[in-house]
Amino acid sequence: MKLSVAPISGSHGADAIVAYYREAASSPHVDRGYVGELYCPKRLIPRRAFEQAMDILEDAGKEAVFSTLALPAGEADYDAAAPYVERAQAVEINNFGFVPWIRENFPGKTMQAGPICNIYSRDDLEIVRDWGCSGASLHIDLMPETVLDLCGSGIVPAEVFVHGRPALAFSWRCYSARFADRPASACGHVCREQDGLVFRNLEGEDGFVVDGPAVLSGQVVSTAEQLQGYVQAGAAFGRLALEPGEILHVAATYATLLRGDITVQRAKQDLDGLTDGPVRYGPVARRRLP
Amino acid sequence: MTKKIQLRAPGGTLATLRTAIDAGADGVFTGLKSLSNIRNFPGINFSVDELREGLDYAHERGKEVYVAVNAFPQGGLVEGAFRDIETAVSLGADSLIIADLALLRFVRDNFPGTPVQVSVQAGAGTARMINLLKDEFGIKGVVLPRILSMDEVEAVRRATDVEIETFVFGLLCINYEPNCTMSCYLTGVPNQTFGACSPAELIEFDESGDRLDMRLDGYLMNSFTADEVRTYPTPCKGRYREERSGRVTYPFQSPSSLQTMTMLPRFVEAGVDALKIEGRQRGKTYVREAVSVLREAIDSYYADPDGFVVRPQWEARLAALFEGGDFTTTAYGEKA
Repeated sequence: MKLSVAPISGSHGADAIVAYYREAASSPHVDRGYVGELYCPKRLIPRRAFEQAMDILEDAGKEAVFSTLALPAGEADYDAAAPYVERAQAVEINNFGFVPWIRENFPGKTMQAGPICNIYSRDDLEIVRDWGCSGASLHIDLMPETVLDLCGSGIVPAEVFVHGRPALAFSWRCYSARFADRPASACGHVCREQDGLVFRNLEGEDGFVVDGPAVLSGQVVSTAEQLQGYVQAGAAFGRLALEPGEILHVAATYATLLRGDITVQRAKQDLDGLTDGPVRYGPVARRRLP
Repeated sequence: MTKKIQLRAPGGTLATLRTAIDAGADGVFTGLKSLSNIRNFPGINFSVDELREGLDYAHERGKEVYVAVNAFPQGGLVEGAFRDIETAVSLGADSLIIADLALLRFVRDNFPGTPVQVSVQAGAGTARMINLLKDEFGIKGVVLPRILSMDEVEAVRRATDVEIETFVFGLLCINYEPNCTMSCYLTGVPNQTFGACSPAELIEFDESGDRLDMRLDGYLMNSFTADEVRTYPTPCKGRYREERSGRVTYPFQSPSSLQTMTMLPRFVEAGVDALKIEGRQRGKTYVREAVSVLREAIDSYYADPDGFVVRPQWEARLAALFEGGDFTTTAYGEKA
């Protein structure tokens, strides 16, 4: 299993974006970097930074994949994606509307189905393969047995979620602007000032983190315990959704675990030490109703 | 004038299906008692015999019934969803409501010509995605996500010729529906597969002193005093404390529901084909009132489009269906 780094989350200036991908590029354990913004089209504005990020990754021998928006609102959002799609080695589709758009405007461009795509079965996987996707990043809503089944299906190489704060939801609303009592249309990039709003329930338990229109998990989630199973099932990539400054150490820990040089228990101890706040071990989807 | 906009209503049970039709709905959406249906709540949905009876009742009155097979089946549940599609088609459902690609392909390959509406669960909110589904699977219509502005609805209308249905009244899903896993994060139960978010089996209401605590699988989502509006028990409608400021707030959605009667002319002018009332979990009173008010409003508009006004009594009747909560036109108005 190879390791990939998810797109930088949150709102950042050009320097921070470049620094994040420079960090990913410097890790010998990261093979692929996803570059882009899934939820807020306003965050795609520092174009040169995203293009530079792809340069940095490729110069370091990594694969640079552009991740599309999850909800393009109109033609302007497709147009905004065009220079990145043209530049990228491959494109991660996070809305099926990009499939015909890429076929039409960038024939032959390598496509992968992103974690926003609703792929729940082998049949679904076959369909996106037939649409031209040569890989798929699996949704966190999948039960462990489904993940193993899809990884082992051989339909297309599959990527599994391994570590980080997964996006649990996203909205037409900008929750960051809402918290600041601003309309989304005049948000003033308030999400950059807030740097993630942490919400706990009224008993003080971890809840959710707000990042613009996205809702992230309150706790960092790790599937370290499932990793060997994923490898045995044939998962091609493990996805790390990391914060700036933690890529090197977290990727190294998982790489060491994948090589079998440390136990899962030891890896968990290391990850606990590397992470701000408690780590929740185990897949997000893990049980059926009684 | 073009074809009159249709009014489609929820029919969680045979009784509410009949009520909806009697109150003036053009069509009723429902589902089988099955995991293939995303509103797999206890106490609602149809057995095969009930669905047959419901179809007869509707067809005898010139109305339609749409059967939702709109979960995302995984882990061996795909075959069961295929069987439910066969059942619905064999009984003469007027349309299927589907979200999952595999199920769309199954209908295309096995029941060509069967009308299919793409469920709101699919999140098909762009013309490019809708047209892809049309080209690949021959869909007849799409239920648009409740996250589009009216301008975006109009843009979709201009760019596709499939039938467009929009929600106009009821509870809101504030997040993009096919990807909301807030409930799954708290419970571990994948909500797109096992019957929507916040499964009833895992909801608890604890009364202590003058407070009512609302929990999902033990996790406190909200706590109400006696005089506060009770919200629907889902994580997105919960109340939380922001860590740095200490502010307690509804960060995702305040207690409010969708009510868009003032926008009725815009829906019609935009070329929307059908208006949908949310609420298969709702009882007869809700369905009767919501359908009859919206029926009156639609008929009033068509009788005199230029003179259409929302009557205060319509708003009062709809307001009575939600205890104390506010109404919003949600994204149709302005993206907040």
